[in-house]
Amino acid sequence: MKKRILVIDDEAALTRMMKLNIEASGNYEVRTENSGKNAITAAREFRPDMIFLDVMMPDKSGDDVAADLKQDPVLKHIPFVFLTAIVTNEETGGHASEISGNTFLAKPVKKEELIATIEKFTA
Amino acid sequence: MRNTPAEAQSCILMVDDNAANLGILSATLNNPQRRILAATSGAEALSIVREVLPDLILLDIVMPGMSGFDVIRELKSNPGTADVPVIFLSALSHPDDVVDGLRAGALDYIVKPFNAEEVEARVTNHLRLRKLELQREKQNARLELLNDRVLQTMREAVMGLDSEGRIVFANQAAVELLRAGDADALIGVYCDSLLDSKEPIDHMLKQTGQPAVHHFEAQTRGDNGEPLPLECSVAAVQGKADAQGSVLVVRDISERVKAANALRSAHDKVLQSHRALQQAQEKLIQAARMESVGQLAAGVAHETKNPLAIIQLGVEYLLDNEPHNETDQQVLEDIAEAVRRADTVVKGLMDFARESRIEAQAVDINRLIETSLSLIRHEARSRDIKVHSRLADKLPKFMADKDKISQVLVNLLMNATQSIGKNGEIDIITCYEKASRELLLDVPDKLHLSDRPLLQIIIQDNGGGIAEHDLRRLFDPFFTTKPVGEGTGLGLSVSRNIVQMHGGWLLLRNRSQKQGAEAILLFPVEENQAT
Ligand SMILES: Nc1ncnc2c1ncn2[C@@H]1O[C@H](COP(=O)(O)OP(=O)(O)O)[C@@H](O)[C@H]1O
Ligand SMILES: [Mg+2]
Repeated sequence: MKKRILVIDDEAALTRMMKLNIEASGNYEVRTENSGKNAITAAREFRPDMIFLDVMMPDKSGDDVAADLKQDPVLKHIPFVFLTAIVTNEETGGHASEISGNTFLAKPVKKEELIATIEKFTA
Repeated sequence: MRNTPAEAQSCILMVDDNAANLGILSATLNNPQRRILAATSGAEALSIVREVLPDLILLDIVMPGMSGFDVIRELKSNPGTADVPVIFLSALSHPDDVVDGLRAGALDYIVKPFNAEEVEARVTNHLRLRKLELQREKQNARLELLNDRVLQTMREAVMGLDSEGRIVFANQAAVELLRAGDADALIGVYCDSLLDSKEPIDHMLKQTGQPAVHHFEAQTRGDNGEPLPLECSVAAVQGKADAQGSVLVVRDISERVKAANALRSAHDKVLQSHRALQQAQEKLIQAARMESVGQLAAGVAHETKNPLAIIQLGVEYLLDNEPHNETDQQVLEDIAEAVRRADTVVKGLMDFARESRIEAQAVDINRLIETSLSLIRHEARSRDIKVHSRLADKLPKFMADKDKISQVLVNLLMNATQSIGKNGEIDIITCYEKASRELLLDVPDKLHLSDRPLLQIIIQDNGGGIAEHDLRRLFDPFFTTKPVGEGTGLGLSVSRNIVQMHGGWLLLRNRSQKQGAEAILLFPVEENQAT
């Protein structure tokens, strides 16, 4: 069975591109969500193996979504990775990196890093 | 003790060896306002005068025993009786006799036999004159007393000078101002020898015409020899034709001058702090500007990076999605390269907006100390401060930002010179060893600086040291004990930040054995870099 990946970002074009790239590898099924507020509902329905979460979203921030995820009895074990525009690639070392216990990927993210990160978290 | 005649009554003493004459005279002069005494000889007259001082004496000249001349001589020779008016009453009628009598000191001369009315008229006149005389004396005495009181209570120094400029009198204020023991010590002294004025006082007085009073400034010496500024006024006491001396009034204006100076320096200080405020304001505006650059950069980054991410992933998707012709391939690769460039530009903006980072390179710390010392050498020399360095010769290579560490050293060295002020010593020591346990008490544990050798730089001064209550606040931004314009209070906080960026710690404390303070820099160094 294909691993399920949920991508949450208010930028629809970006989620579309992520879906295209991730699914192109043939190993994953991607669902996208463009509203922070609907993130939890989407996750409940889709039951992903991993979540990409944008930090800055207008209706609900990635931080708040993450806090809800950690509280949710069903969703709390699902790993998530933040997508951020304000941490530079240099600071993340060019890879998904830990900052105070959370993993970040700096935008613009390369397909290669995206796949490597997914593989790491869904292994 | 003599009795003076009762207040209202005038007392007349008649002296004549002829009792009949006395009777007639007494009848002539008798009047309730008068007390009339009589003596029949010169000796008796003098003994009465010793008891009662008469207002007028009518004195016969030719008498057995003491003559009238003898009596008047006796009276004049005694200061207590010299002023008592005497009228000679005599049968000697030659003009020479009259002249002799008046020369002897009599006020008047009446030739016997006398006309009663004339005697009465003359006596009345003389009594009135005598009364006026006594009144004038009394008034003079009162005026003198008043004068003295006024002079002594005045705060201004008042002195009388004779025509040569010597002091003839001085009030208490003058005695105090001129630091003389008492007024007598000033009498006879040339005033110019005590007061320094541009122009000698007698010159001023000799200037003819107006103004009658000359005002001028002068100086004298205070208790400790310091100059006291004075404001003086001098006026000539004018006789008929020429000056008979002068009166000099002197005021000590040192308080006024001091106040004026204080006012001026307060004004300067206000100007200075105004300037400092302006500078601070400029700094704040600059800081605010930087902050908004930071916010702007974050906004730009966010707004730019999302589209970049979309393009990036879109290009990558297309590149992976074969087949395409060579041209398509080239176009997609060019786009990918453009995304990378745009990303670099945004990153640069973010770096600029953030606190600048350290640019580490291998640094020879001893060399860096020498360089930093050369920056403060001039300042140290002008303050007579000697700088000694004791630098360990085998130190590990130190990865550090040269400019920033130099900035720290200069900050600390400037603090040391400022604390010394003038004339002192600064020691700079370097070593590579573990920090003492006592030193580590002041180092945060999380820096992990214990249990390993550290690169240490110690800067010691023999200045004033640090007050107990300031110790905790030294590193607070803007904490300074220096006057406005001299200290910003940022040196230590910026320095500690820089040291922390290098993983190290900066301490400042009073020296334990000697006077003064010491700054201690502790840096971790990678073991394998030790030579
Ligand atoms: N070597 C020293 N000796 C005594 N006091 C010092 C020394 N260095 C610093 N200080 C104290 O620490 C304060 C803060 O220093 P700093 O942050 O460099 O600011 P500033 O020098 O502008 O006052 C100084 O005002 C002074 O009171
Ligand atoms: Mg300073």
